[in-house]
Amino acid sequence: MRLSYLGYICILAIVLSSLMVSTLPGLSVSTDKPAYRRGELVTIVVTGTPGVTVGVECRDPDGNIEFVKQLTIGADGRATTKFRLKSDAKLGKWTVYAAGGGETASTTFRVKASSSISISLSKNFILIGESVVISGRISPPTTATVSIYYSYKGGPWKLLKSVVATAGSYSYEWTPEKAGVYKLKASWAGTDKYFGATSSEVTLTVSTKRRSFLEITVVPEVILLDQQVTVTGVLTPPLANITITLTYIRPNGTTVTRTVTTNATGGFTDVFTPDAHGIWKVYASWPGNVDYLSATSLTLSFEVRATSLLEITVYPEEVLVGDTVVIVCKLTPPLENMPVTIEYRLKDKPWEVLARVLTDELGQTVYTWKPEVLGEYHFRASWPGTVGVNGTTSDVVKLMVVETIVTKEELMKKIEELEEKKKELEKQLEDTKSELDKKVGELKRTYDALIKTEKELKDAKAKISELEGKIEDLSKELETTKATLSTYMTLLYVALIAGLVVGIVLGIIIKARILK
Amino acid sequence: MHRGIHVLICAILLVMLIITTPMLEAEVYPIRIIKVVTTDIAGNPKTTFKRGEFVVVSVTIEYPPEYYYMGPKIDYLLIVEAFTPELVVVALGFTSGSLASGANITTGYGFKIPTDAPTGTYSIDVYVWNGWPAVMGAEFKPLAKSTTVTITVTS
Repeated sequence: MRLSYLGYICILAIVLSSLMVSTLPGLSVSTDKPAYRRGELVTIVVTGTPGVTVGVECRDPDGNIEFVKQLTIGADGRATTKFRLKSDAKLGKWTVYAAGGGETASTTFRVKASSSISISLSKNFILIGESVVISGRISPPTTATVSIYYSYKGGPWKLLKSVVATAGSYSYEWTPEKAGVYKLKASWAGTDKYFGATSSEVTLTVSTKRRSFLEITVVPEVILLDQQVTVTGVLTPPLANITITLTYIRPNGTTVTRTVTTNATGGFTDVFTPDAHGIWKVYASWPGNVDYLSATSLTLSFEVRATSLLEITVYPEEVLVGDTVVIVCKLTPPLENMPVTIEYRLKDKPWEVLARVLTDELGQTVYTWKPEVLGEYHFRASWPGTVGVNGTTSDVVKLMVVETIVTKEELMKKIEELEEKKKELEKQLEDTKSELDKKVGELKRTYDALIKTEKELKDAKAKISELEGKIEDLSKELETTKATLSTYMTLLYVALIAGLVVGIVLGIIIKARILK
Repeated sequence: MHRGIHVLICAILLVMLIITTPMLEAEVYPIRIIKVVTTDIAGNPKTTFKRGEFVVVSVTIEYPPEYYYMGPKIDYLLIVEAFTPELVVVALGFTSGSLASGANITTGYGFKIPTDAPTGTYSIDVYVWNGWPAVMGAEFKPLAKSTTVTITVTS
């Protein structure tokens, strides 16, 4: 069968159009960077057939959909969209899917966090032939290969060694072959989740000189201002006539430099009088010589302490119960924010803490207090001291808490009255004394009289004894007389009764005669 | 001769049809996003929100009857995505369902603006797709023209 030329044209057109269709750009998706940090902007570019609408979807490493977009491919066959990663975006491999127009495409990118790597040397200075340990850590801890680089005398960086860091830690012992100054650094390439990092640089000095050492001691470690401190030391190896510099550092940071010379055994001594209180530091050093390296001793400290004075004053000195008492403490030297403890007691009672206060910029502190009980109060203040200044306790001051307060005028008046009373009493005393003298004279006379009377009494007693004898005799006579008289009285009674009877009888008889 | 010309024209038209078919397909959106409104949680329309407040994005879509040929009902995936002024995705929500020809539906997606979120103009995109690109692959189709609204976030 023969085709007409038109038939050939048709077949050609169909083939051409099929070719055109087949040459239309296929769907593809890409990102502007292979890896991003959290918070970074991700740009997604979709290429494909112009006019086709595509759906773009971005998933995190766990498959969570984090971003979607509907895009229409432009006339240039491209469509672009952007989104910013969250500050807590998941680390790892993210996937971007694009689909539309019967086609699909995908790409991936990484979200990584920053990492760091450290480097340190076991020694910054070694002698030729000695070893140094180079170590460091990757943060976050990761097992990875670490490359250690060195630069000799400022030359180009060269790989020293690649070592494996386990759980983030790496270590390598190195023995340099040449003397000189080396710089060292470490780096690691990172992972899917972390960017690589390069450490800071460290310096290693490899020397051919011999080492020297300086040691010092300070005695005493605590002194008072104006006292002396003795620094003794020794240079090892024991080199004689070496000038050693002693650097004294004042508490305010300024320095005093003194030099001493070593003796035959390398020893040296310096006696120093500090001019300020506080913590001083001292170290010895020497610059070395052609055979030996320089050396610096450890820095030692010593304390220079100043004395302090703490004064306490109580205003007023006499108050009523409930009145306000102002207690002022003054610290010399005037140090600010120093703790002062104020104590008080009633007379002869134990001390009690009244208050703990801080001094102001003038070294003073003011405290007010209201006594509640009558009596004589004692006050004192103390502070514990601070760096360079000894603590102290103040003198004791008194406060009288009274029921009423006597004014000075009243007091003077009372004194005058008491003076007058005193004079009166003195006068009375004089009078009483003269009276007493008189009475003493009288008593003396009375005594003499009594002595005399006693003698008279003795005589009288003797007479009385004599009279008593007479009275006894008279009593006997009286008894005799009484007995006689009694007899007579009995007889008299009998005579009276007999007479009465006779009378009655006679009466009766007479009556009877008369009646007759 | 005329017959040959007709065949040629037909062939050219056929080729153009083949070339433009994907483009034409791309422009066919069987679902329309009728309305996108931002409201508070009580349903009151508003476009200015404070940090810490809830934003409800209410979307109404319809499946017009003229696209009957797409089927008596159509399955859809409605996506609402909110961006901060710095293009950080602050909310990404979706719902799926099916819509009968001639029907419409209103659905809402709410999200809380973080208290530490930046202030400024936030954009909210609404998409209606037949599924996720990663899942649908070559079968993926956008079902509606995307719509974007903005809200203002203040401190």
